[in-house]
Amino acid sequence: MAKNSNRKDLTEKFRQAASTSTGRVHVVPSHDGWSVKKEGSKRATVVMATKQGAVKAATGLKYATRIIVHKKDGTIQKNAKVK
Amino acid sequence: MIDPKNVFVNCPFDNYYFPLLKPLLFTLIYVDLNPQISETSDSGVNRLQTIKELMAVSKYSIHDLSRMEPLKRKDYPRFNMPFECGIDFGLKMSNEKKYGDKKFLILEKEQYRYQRVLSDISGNDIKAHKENPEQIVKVVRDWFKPTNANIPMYKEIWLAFNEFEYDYEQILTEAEYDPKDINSLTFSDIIENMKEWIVKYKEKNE
Repeated sequence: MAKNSNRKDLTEKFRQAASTSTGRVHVVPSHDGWSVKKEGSKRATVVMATKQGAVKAATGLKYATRIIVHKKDGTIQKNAKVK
Repeated sequence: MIDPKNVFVNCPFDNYYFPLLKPLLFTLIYVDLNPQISETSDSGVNRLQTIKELMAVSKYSIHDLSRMEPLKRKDYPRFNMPFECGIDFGLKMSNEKKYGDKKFLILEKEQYRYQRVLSDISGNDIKAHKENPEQIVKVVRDWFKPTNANIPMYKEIWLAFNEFEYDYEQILTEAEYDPKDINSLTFSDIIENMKEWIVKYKEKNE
């Protein structure tokens, strides 16, 4: 089990992470292009043809505080604060 | 007794397969199914008994046979998955009245490769995931579509999984665990954390 957390603490962190609304915007590669998705929303705000286009669109969103760019396996390629 | 929500998962348990296992488990939980998976720490005899018991309570099984070839040139191929798949077929055929409704989804890397090494399973539902996490979400979701009229579109699940992945990486790293290591958490911990995360995620979207 996790070194700095017991089982209950860890599960609580997952609960909180899914419950909390943040200004994070995810850029996700998929069959139809690069989806821009506000955290917590079930659908993409917009789908762009290129990663660069998706990052630009994400950065332009008023509520965006961080842009999380994902790799094809879902893991994180880039996690950057919006200036 | 067979539970219509239980899905027995038979796949490689290593770090190379972990990027496919996570979206596979996530998809099952997201569509309200209960993945049944044996812990790798169980000893040999107990493990086989546990596997048989998990198969016996699962209406559905997913058998991933993609590791029929070794990962590296000097490695050996893994026969655990076809072996367990055979046990599951045997269980189904041993008692049609009790297990006749069991349904199997066979996953492979390429669509027709199995025909060269395991032609006996021709005629079953065999889908290729191409070792692509997004594709595994799609084929698993699409296979369960006829059983659930309200099943979400695969894209919704894929986007949710990506958000989960961010939290998974952050939370495990903070707890000083390697998020890329399949052994950082037990499978039951991974499944429990996914379930809790998905419940809250869906609540937020209601």
